[in-house]
Amino acid sequence: MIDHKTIKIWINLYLDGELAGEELEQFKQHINKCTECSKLLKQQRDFVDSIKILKDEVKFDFSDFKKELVSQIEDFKPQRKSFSKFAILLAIIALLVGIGFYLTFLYSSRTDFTEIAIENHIRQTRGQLPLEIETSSETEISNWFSGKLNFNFRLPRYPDPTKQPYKIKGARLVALNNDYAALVSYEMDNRPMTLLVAPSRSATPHGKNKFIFKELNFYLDTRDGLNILSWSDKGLTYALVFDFENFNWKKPCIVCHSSGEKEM
Amino acid sequence: MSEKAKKEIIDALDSLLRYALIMTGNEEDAKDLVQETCYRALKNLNTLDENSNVRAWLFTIMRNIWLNQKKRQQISPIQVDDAIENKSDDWNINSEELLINNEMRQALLKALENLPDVYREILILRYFEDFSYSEISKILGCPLGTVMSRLNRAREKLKVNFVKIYEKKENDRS
Repeated sequence: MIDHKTIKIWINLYLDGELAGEELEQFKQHINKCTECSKLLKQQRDFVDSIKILKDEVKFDFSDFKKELVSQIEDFKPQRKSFSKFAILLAIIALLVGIGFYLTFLYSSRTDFTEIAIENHIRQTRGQLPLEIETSSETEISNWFSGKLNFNFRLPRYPDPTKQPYKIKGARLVALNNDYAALVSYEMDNRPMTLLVAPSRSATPHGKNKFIFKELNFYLDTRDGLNILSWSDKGLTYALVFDFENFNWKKPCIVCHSSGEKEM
Repeated sequence: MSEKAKKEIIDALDSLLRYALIMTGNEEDAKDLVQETCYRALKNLNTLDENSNVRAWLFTIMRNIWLNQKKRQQISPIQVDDAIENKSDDWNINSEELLINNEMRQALLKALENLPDVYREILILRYFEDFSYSEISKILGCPLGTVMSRLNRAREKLKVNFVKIYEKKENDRS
């Protein structure tokens, strides 16, 4: 038998929908039999209903505020933190890959340029790359290249032609990185010498030995019995290939830098 | 999930505004409270899953913000008053009578507004917003037993307050 005290507690649970199962059945049975508890239930139900009625008494007009707030909620784009982290990670990876590609490209450019300079020199001396213009005139060669190259290239004139230690044989275009480079053929001490010229953006000087002359870095290397002197100046990169016996690396510098003999 | 949750937030705005208005006592504070609640909820939408009770979650956020504001104002939000005078089970006003009698409704509303925060909020959550004891327990961060006992005290206190206010009005009239 359930006592009245318990029923009084259960009344509120019942009205709040929190009474269930066996307790609910016992409660209903007791209420049906007990007038006093039934009266209490009615009083409490009236009271609870009275509180509920108050909800409509809380009057407010926030229509403008609500309209603005609804708009803000609808426009809100959730930030995806994990996505942001993922994006940053991707960006870092992309950057590292980019740097890798750049370094690879840089290294391959160096390798390619000196390799190509040697290859062109060999093919030219074998007669596999005939000259497209045969002349000893720097001006004629410069004019011939004009309009054919994507860069401005002019052969410097030797200050005193009577003391010129080399002889210009002619020039031609050669392929380099999907573009053209300038190849100039010389003869010095009765030995062939070629100069390959390309824009610095697609060719980098490279060599085991580095020398500084007139604030320019010169690189000297020997490969397959050929000497390669390479350098960059004013947006162009040069590679001079020759096979002089008893090689004196100062001599080729005379081609463009007449004072080289003194300073290099 | 975020679009569904956003819709639930929008649907809960009236309830949140009512709760905020009763708890803060003025419209501007209520607007600020609801605005901040929505902002925090939207920022944390990714913490919800399909089974989340968004409405209860919103009330929890709002209550936490409100409590923090109270702390900053150095006002204790927990003012549980166990000593309820004139404990009485009697309630001789039926809801129909209350619906007709505007003066009686206003007295009951005033009695509710005058309740300590801790009682006012639990009555609102239960009888205005129809949250279950379990939901209220989560919103308030207290055990189920506390919800039951606090609700009991809140109801008794409301009765006492109402009687005082209504009797005073009657006396003033006579």
